[in-house]
Amino acid sequence: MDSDAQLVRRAQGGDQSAFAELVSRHRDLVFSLAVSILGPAHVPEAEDLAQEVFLKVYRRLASFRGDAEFRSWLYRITFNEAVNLKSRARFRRPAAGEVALRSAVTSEPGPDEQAEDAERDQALAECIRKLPEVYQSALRLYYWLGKGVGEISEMLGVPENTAKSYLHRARQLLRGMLKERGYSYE
Amino acid sequence: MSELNPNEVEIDRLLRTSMEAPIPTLSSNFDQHLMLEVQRTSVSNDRYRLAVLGGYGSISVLACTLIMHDQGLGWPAIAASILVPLAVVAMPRTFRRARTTA
Repeated sequence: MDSDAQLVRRAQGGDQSAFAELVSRHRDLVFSLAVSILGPAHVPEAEDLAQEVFLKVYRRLASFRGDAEFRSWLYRITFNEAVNLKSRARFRRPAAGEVALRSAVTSEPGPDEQAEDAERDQALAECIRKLPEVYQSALRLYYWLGKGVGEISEMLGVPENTAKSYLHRARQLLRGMLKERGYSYE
Repeated sequence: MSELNPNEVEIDRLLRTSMEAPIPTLSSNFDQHLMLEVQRTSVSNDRYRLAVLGGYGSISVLACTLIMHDQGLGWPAIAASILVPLAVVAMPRTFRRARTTA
């Protein structure tokens, strides 16, 4: 099986099947990274963004000299594109996000408990949206999309210890924010 | 799994339950759509490159022809000075194509 570097060289020479192979290798992680930044309420936009990222990569492939690994380059482009897209107005509006998705899969508790859970989840979702982008992304990749610390560090382009510290710091910040709202998680 | 401090156990549990949701996947025709776009991009890039190169070549030839004629060079000499370099540039490709078909 060809390595990424070999496929990149072939794609740079105009071999579209080599580029198709690169897409099929990396599409799921590119999509996961995009959706982890945009949030659960923007899954279709994350798919469009993944497509845009690959088209951009195809257009810029000639300028890729292989100083960094192809996938690091790809994930960096994905991260930047997703953050740019998110900074546009319609993505800033609070979305149902994590809360709406959760209600689709949980079993039905009593009405009081349900209301309390919904309120707490709403508070949590709002607090998550206030975190820095990398923390939000790390949290969603880890808790929602089930990625390991190794994969998160690769996608965010940081060492594993840094990815661990993102998760740790995000939990600490969330604990503090929820405490201010009257929810204690000691 | 990342190691948890004792004071993170509860928030970790909350995040696990609160963020539990179906994992989204890409649509099945993602690759197909993307590769169609790639082909379209590639064809339009090729056309653009060809148009730019063609335009540049035509203008250069026209300008050279006028200048050479203005300097008193005859038409056969002008034609030779333009067509001979063109033939030299095109020769390796024609030669390669002939070798692959042989």
